[in-house]
Amino acid sequence: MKVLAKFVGSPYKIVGVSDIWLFFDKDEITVRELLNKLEMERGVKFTLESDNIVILVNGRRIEFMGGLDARLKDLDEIVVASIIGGG
Amino acid sequence: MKKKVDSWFGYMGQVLRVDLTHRKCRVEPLQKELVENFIGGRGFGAKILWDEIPAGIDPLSPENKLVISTGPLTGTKVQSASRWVAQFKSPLTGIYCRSVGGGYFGAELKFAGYDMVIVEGKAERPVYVWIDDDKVEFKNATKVWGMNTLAARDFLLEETEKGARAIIVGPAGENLVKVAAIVTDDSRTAARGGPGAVMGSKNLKAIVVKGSKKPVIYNEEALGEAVKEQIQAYRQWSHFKDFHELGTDHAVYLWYTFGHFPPYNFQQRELAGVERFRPEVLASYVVGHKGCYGCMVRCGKVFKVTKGPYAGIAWEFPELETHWSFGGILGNCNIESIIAANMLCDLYGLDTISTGVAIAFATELYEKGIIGKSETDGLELKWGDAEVMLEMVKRIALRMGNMGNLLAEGTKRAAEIIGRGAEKYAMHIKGLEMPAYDPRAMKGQGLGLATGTIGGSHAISWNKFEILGVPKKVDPFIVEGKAELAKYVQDEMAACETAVFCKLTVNHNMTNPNFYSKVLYSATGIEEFKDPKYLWLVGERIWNLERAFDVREGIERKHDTVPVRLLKEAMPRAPAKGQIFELDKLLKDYYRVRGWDERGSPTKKKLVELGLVEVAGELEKKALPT
Ligand code: SF4
Repeated sequence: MKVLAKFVGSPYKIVGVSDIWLFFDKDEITVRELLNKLEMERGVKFTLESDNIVILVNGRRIEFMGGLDARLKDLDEIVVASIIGGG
Repeated sequence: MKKKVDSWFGYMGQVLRVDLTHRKCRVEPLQKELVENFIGGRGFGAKILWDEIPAGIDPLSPENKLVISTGPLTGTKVQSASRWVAQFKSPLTGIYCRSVGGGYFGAELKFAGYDMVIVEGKAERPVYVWIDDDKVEFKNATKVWGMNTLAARDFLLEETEKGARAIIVGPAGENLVKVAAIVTDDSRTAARGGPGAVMGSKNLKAIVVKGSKKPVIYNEEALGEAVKEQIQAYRQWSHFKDFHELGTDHAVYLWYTFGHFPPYNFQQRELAGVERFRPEVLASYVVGHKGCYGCMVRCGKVFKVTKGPYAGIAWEFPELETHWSFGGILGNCNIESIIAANMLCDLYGLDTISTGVAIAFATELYEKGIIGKSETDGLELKWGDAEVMLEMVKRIALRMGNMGNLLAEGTKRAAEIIGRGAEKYAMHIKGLEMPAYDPRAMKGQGLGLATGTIGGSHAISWNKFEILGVPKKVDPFIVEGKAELAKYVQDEMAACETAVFCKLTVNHNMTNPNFYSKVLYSATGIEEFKDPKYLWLVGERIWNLERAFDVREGIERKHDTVPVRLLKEAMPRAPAKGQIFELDKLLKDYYRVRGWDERGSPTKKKLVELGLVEVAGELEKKALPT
């Protein structure tokens, strides 16, 4: 399976690219697994603890989908973004 | 600490009443009762409008009043607290309106010695008011009538004083365009609800002000300490750097991902080219930073266009909402054209949100064949056509042609005039064009928009729980518990806009009643203000008074709604795919939480509890239940 990972705002500056496809040998993975892969392969670490970073799966915050255990399927999209308020 | 004497601390103690009809000005003492019950800013204006504007008047008649107010922290060293408020009966919505502006005008008005200016009547010929400390003059504005805001500013400051500050209307306000804004000398706007048209209807081109005084602070030392802590907190604020770098534009792309930034007039088809709104792309246009008086965030950015047909424009800058109203909603991802549209709106004096939404409305009507070229004066209204969009901005501002003149009335009125089912595509709430949020994707935010006292405004009801996750994260799809959250953010913002704090810092929880009470007491020495609970009460009091104004104008349950497509058409894209907005359940909860009856009127019990006894008496005439 493959997942499109997008990095927006400060995560973009950290990772250095705006989008990457990540490939896995399974039909389903968790967000935790994806973040581990990013850490191992790219040396970047994102957590849920930072209050200005959001992680979204298909536009939904993962806190409401089981947190780091949220599931990702083939062709899903994950966004890691720094968030500030609009107005 | 100073000894409390009879004079004011934090306040200047004076209200300037400007009677344009008789070319007379009167300085009135600031009333103690007004201060104690309403604190300042938005609270002052809500009370003055309730007391002085009878129900049913024409907003563009001399009977309407324009209240320009500051707050007890305006012009002090407290950070992000020097904004100013325009309040009036809206010519766009026919109900109460509050519109907040930034820049340096508010602080300067206070330095001239006034907490508030109340403008009434109508001048016989175009005038501007020149306030030079205690000296107030009516000056001939015939020469600047018709000028854009920038040209008028240069002329007026030349004629008065270079360092003066001003609020100005452009041709749109003069032409009584119902979505006309007030623009400051530094291109900040109080835009929503048509305050520019109110000034235009009074033949008032501008208010120019220069002052040399400073508010006296009750306890300088305590205020200094609190501000030091505030600055420290700003420095440690995890969003500070991003906010300073790109302001609200940091959020544009993310809003689309959340299911907001609704493209194609809320049809919510996927927006090809949305990647152009990523922060790193928008940041590439930034050539400078600007801000408001007394705010280290300096979130205003100067955008420069260096290539293409709009090359040469350097302007402070389309914010998140404007990227949507001239971008997403119109299917337009040409950033340069959005910068150009923003500039045109500031020069003509137009609200960018309402103008863009009105054009999107007409574009969808054209797409659906409800209107044709004969009604658009030959223009082909197409999604993503930047040139047509800019042409329409001009036509609206100048009321040119059939369509320009029609959209100048605002989306709601335009739909009523067109008929043929056009209302279905008019994205407004109580006549105010909607901002870049889709209620289907965020239920508490949607409820806030549906119940807004000025109509569909994100500015007075921004659900930070759902959007940012502060003070705690709340699932945007859940319906339960959202009434409480909507009330929370509405009352909090009403309280903080008495200062006048900037909404952006309230949205981030950097400003809240706890912090506010501390600086407010240090600045004013007024005992009641020490208690954050009292500030919450004042916030609720203001919200209820605003609602009472609306109820007196005929607002009821049926007006607390959102456009029908958001109730009936399922959201077509992620993350809220398949969802609609559950208005009935949300509204029922909201009225209960607010202590209002099933028609949406504040009950006598609630009004008495809030100290609004005389309001209860007046609403009783409209068969208020006990
Ligand atoms: S945050 Fe921005 S808009 Fe708000 S007061 Fe500061 S500079 Fe002005």
